[in-house]
Amino acid sequence: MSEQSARVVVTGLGCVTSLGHNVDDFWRSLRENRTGLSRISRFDPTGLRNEIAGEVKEFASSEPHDRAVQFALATAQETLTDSGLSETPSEHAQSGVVCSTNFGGADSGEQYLTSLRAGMPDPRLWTEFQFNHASTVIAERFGFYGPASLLSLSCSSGTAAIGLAMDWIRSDRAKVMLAGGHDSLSYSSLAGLSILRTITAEQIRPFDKRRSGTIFGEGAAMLVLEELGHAQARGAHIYAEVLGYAVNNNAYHLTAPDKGGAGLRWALQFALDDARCRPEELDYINAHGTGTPYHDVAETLAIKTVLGDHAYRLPISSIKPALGHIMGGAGTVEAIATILAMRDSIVPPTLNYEEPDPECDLDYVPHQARPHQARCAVSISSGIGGNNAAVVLRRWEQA
Amino acid sequence: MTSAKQTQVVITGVGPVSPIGIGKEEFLAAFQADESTLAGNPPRAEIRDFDLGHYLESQKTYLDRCSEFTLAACSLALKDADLQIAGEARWRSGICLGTAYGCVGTLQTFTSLLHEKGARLANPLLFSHAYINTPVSLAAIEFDLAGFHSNVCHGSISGSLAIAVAADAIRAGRAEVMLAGGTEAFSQPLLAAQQDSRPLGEGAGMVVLESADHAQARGAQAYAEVAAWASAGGHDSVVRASDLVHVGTGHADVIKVSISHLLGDTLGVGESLSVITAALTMADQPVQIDAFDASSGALSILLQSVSRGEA
Repeated sequence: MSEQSARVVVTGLGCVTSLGHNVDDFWRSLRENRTGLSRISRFDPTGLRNEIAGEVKEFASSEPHDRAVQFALATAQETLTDSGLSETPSEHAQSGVVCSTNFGGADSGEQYLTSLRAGMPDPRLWTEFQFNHASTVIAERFGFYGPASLLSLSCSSGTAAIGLAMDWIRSDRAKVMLAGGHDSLSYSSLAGLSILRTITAEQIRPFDKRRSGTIFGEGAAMLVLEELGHAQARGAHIYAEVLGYAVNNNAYHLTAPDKGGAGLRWALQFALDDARCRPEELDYINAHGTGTPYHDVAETLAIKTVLGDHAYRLPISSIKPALGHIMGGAGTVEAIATILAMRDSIVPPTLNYEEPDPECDLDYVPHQARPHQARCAVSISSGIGGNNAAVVLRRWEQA
Repeated sequence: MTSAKQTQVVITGVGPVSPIGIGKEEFLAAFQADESTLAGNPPRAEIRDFDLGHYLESQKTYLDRCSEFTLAACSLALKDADLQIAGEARWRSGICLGTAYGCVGTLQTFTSLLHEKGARLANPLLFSHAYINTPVSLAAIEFDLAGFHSNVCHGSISGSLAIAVAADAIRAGRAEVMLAGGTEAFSQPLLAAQQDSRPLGEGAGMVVLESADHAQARGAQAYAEVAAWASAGGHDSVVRASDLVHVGTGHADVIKVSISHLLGDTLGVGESLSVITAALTMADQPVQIDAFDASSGALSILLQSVSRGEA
């Protein structure tokens, strides 16, 4: 980060998850140690490794779009309303969008391929399947005519989106950026993740000795990032400051994690360097914490390598047992949990953690949310293909 | 958008994989001769008789065509730049790829088998090769690129936006070396969805970007400098993106380079091949200031000549 770089703050939050269709419901449920996981009802889950998922129930949208795009649109509306920007369309050229997704309009993609097998390919379904459809629709809907992009970096996408949006504000390409991810559950993606054994046949238990895999979920999450002076000039409520980020790749294996956690270690180190933050300044870590046997060890090792003894002195939690791993939106919804944990001085729990693992020997905040003052925190994400990302956030102290 | 104080980012290697030619020499000769390979109705420019073994030493069991093009383009670009990533340099060397559709051909095969055999007999190899970020991950693994990493999937500007994001990553100090560009491969799902008469092409185009200091330290010669980029949306986006990039650099006189008349609309890869074309043009015929305007899809990249021996 150069001396002249603009400071970037968070002025709006929004999400749709199995824990709630807005940030207030999501955060209340998380603080109350609830889980949104339930049996999949939208399609027959027979044959999948687990019939449980973080499905968004009773979600109604009149938008003529794919379910994943509907999640993204509803979330964009909530986020912009929260920031107070939805009614001020005067600076469109300086407002941009970075969305992220693992599978695009997955329902439409499945239906398109079915129509193709039947010899009657439907181009409308193809359009809804497009990975950048949500970012394009959002940019047009809200008139955000600055720089736009869609990133797909598997399960680190939602953190990478925050990072790119931050960079575009730092380099003065935009004053306001809407950033975040979306994905919906689909039979074909869950079938693939089942056969890869990423999904557990039992319960999701991050960092627990008996952990055997993750549980996926769906939804969307977004932030409004804004240049500090711009936010202050319009009297916006500021939640937090985005201090820095990093995104990298293990360059090791397409599906197997690097057990030594070297890639994660460098992602965390480079994010702290970018943030000009010393490891001992961190007060909380929102972990990727998928509950897969090797990843949780690699993440623990990476944290201990970068933080040293300080790793044993701060709480670390994974919210995935509460809402499922929501893929393209996971990094963003976890950033929201991190920001609200700092605001309310309470860190969310790692549900289902019961039996300690000698290889995962940190404080994972089992079962119950915990009162804890945190000024500075990091949210970590990883994904298939070897992707890693980390974003460093600081609580905003109102003057 | 840019200032004189910024780190200079230069192009030191190119890897074109296109229907008109694969590798710098073939590609340069074909576009100078104005050779189109567009054929049929609707017109398609297809890469024929492609063999990844010509460009890669390691053996592969299965790859989507899109991944094959990507790996070949990366290999060609690194060889052209005379660059091998090794040791601790891997953490400062990254890749940013653009693709609109990625491995949708493999996704189709995976879902067809899933439909036929059920979830318990789904094919894990096909699934892991069906992700839209599989090509960029495979390239990172193959060439030891463990640094800054991104995958831009933003329609027709994907390839050029990937180059822009990569150049910014070097300027921001996130990497010293970046491979960047786009990739797209014909597949049944993609072609079946394009029901108009628009000419289409396939291929990949990667460039090696590095800071001018890094290039100079290893004695690498630069084709061009990535001087600036700009992006805009809305109805007048093309004009505004061009204006932004020219205002940002103070260069009003530009030469626009495009090879879409030779390749058709190459979707996520198109403009990255045009960036290669512009860089090669400038290196072949040095001028004080030259420019490239990849305005299709409302993103402009301005390239600037560099004096030989400077970087």
